[in-house]
Amino acid sequence: MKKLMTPIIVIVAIIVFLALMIVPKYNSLVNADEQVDSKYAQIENQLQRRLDLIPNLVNTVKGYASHEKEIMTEIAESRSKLAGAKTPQDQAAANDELTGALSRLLVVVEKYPDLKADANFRQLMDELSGTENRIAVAREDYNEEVQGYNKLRRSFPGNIIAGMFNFEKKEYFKANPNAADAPAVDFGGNDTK
Amino acid sequence: MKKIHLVIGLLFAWMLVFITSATTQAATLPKPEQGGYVQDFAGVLSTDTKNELNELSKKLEQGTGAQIVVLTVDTLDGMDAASYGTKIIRKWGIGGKEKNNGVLILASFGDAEGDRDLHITVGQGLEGALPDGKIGRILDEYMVPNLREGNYDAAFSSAYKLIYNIVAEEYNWDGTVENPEKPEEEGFSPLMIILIVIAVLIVYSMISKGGGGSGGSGGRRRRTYDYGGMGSGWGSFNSSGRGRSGGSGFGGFTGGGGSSAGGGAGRKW
Repeated sequence: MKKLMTPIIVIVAIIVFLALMIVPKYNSLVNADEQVDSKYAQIENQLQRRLDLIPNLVNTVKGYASHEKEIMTEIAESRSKLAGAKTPQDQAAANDELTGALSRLLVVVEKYPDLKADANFRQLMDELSGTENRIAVAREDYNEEVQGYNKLRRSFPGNIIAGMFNFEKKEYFKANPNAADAPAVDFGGNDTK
Repeated sequence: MKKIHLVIGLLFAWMLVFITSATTQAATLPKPEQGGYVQDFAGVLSTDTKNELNELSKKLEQGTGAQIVVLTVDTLDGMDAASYGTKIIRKWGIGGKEKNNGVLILASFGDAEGDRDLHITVGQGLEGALPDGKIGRILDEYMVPNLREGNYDAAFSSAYKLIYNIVAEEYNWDGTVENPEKPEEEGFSPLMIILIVIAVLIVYSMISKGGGGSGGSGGRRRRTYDYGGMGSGWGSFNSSGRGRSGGSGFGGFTGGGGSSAGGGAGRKW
């Protein structure tokens, strides 16, 4: 009897020790996972707000510059692309494309002083650039969380736990490198590693 | 063997932590000086304006918990005003921690590319009272015309007071101040022309009488700081308002831990 006791105690001790090590790590992975999701939701909110603002903008512009078809189609197309994008990477690309189209619209608008002075138009442009800035802030926050999460997931013993409980790698909301014609917005240095 | 793996793994994890924590602290943002609500790093505001706005901010915070901070800088270090403003709100913690009810009025005055930028940044808690479009209107109608004319005091104090009143109303607090007057449209209104003619006549009559030295009363003195050292003949008020120090003796601003999601509006001016 006594001979059996010692190995059992040792095994139990090892199990307790492992549990003590694993449980907090598991919890912090869950926590980080939730953080990433909540930051991502903030990006999606702002993307949605942007999608909602575009039709108003298009209508206002049409009232003054009905024959500027080209730019209007471009905006409509990039809007639907953004609406259809599913992954963070596609969304980031489509969002940058829409930003580019909007900045080209601003160039076109220079020809229409009445439109430029229109209170409704100015307000819409302010709200659109406001959402743009909010997206920039939200994506920076999101990318920071993703970085923390992925780090936790890859480092020991997080990597074992992540494998056991299927914590998947998260994608960065990454800026498209050729979106240089977009208005200058600083995304901070944290999203490119 | 396993032990070695574990040691290597731990070392690696520790190194990762070390490397990433070293790289995230990069941006160089100013720190608030002496706890004033008006942080005039560009040195463009008069002492009177600084004192007035400082006092108002203090009252507003006591009455509503919201914080309005004014920041002028020479350069945004290559950032645009919108993200600079958001970073400042977060770093200084403008607004309450729970309510995120801070506002930052930021303008840069340098000549580098990307400067002469302007942004009013709002914490999430005040986005309802101060939507982007409304802020844009304040910028277009009050702040930008005044900045372009070089009336920096009027630019900041008018935008400030409008926002102050909106925030006061949002919290049903009865400390509102008189709304500022809209700046004159560009170009000359008939009234302006009449006033200029009268002024020219007065000056002309004074010069022709040979005196002229005793003139400098009220209205003129007030503007002398605009010319820096040039108008030294005008009396003791000269240029005292441009100094960097004065006006922060009130103290009062300490960040409440507020944050911002990047709301607000901006302009190039």
